[in-house]
Amino acid sequence: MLKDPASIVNRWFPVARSEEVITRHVVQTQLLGQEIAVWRDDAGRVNAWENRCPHRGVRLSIGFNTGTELRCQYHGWRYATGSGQCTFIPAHPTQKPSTSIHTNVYGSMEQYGFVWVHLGPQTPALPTLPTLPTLPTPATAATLQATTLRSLFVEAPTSAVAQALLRGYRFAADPADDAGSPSEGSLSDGSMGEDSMGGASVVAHDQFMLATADSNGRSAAVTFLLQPMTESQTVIHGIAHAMSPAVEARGETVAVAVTERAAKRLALLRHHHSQMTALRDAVERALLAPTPHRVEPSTP
Amino acid sequence: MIKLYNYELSGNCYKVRLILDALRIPYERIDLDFYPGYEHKSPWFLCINPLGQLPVIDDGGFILRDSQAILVYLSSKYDPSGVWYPRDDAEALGRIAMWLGFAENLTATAATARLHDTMFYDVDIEKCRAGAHALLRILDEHLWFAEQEGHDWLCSRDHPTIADIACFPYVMLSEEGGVSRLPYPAIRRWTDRLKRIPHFTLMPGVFGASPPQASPA
Repeated sequence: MLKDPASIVNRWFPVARSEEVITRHVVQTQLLGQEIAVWRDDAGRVNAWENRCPHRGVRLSIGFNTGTELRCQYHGWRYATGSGQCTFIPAHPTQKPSTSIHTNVYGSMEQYGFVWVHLGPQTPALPTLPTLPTLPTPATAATLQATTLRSLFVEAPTSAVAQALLRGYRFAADPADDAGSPSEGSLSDGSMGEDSMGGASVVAHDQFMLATADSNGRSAAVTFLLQPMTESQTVIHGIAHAMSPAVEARGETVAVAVTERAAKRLALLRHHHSQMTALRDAVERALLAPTPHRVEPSTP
Repeated sequence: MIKLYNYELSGNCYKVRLILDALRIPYERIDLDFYPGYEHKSPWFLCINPLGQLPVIDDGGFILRDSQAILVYLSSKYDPSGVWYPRDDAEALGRIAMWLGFAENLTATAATARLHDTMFYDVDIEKCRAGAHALLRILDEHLWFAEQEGHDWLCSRDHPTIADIACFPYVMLSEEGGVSRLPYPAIRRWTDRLKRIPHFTLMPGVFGASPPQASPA
């Protein structure tokens, strides 16, 4: 998946769920081995900078997000949102900092509920979400009920995580079907039983992986996006798409419908979290296990 | 006045300082030379705490050791609002006790890794770090789903409890023991929130949070 370094650098990758990049906060993350400080100014604009103060190299992520600038924890140098230009050096309060002093700014944007970053100098095209198969017209996340899942950190190379997802991410089209069914053990053997966990089919599409499941007359899909943090660490980002029409409130009060929707959303998040966690644990266990001896098949 | 047998660089002493400050309780510090002097193992201190551990408080002759026990005592006695330790809420007390136990596990792993790296304790460092990561994973997951349900704190919605105070220091100091918190964004948001509680105080290695946004008038 990630073979040519040049083509990797010139790609967009998701690095954080948008709603987790809150104001007056600095998110610390990593992409292709490069540490990044991601922060949102008070006007809503997102910045993604190399996590390193140009002055003494201290991590900017331990600094302060003042709403318009990032202030380094060490000597208080301040850097402006957008340009990364140094605006103030406390030890030289009357001098205007040279224009040559600025943070290393990466290209960033927000789409599909995530903050995306590219490390290279050229701005690549953003990958398009795969068309969801059972819908009559090409659909985007915006036209569907999309829920961004909890992003999951995995102690494994991106290629291993991608293989595991393609081999068998299983989930129920309706999380309510999941009650009491085991989430463990269904991944490693790859069996696709006729249980509530509709044997999902997973296909790769550009940088996305699309998993679909059908069960009990309902269908659902989830798109996965992988963030290669380092050569041995990956974050799985996911968007769940409900493809069946949402159950309408049956004449209840609005408050009941809202409560019900919130409960359904939470059930959906928990269901995918438990399936993704099982997958994560299986991938990590497989990496820890000693390489098995090859046993020659005894059958002719 | 309450006396606190203290070491500035101890996360367990920091917990006690945090709750004393949050509850606006004046106290007197008795600073021990933990490292390199090992004064907490000296004969005079072993008379106060035979376990040879910090912190210990002396509240008018009532002597109490164990940071978690001290949090329970101080919040029970000196917080009339009952928000830090809700005495009448059995479920809350159960959950708080659970997270106090979790804090002990952080001491056994993340804090021990820090003793290895900063004060040269002879321990199985890889085991300590792996144990710390296993706990931080659980903590991050718990806090993420708590946020989804509108809860800002470990076991409460709007106001932190002593459970948050108990878990905070060795999470915040984990990187001094070689335990990166980069994979734990929900923990990062929770520590930022805790740093913004009224009368929050810092210790060496713990930096303040970004200034909060002024709320519209």
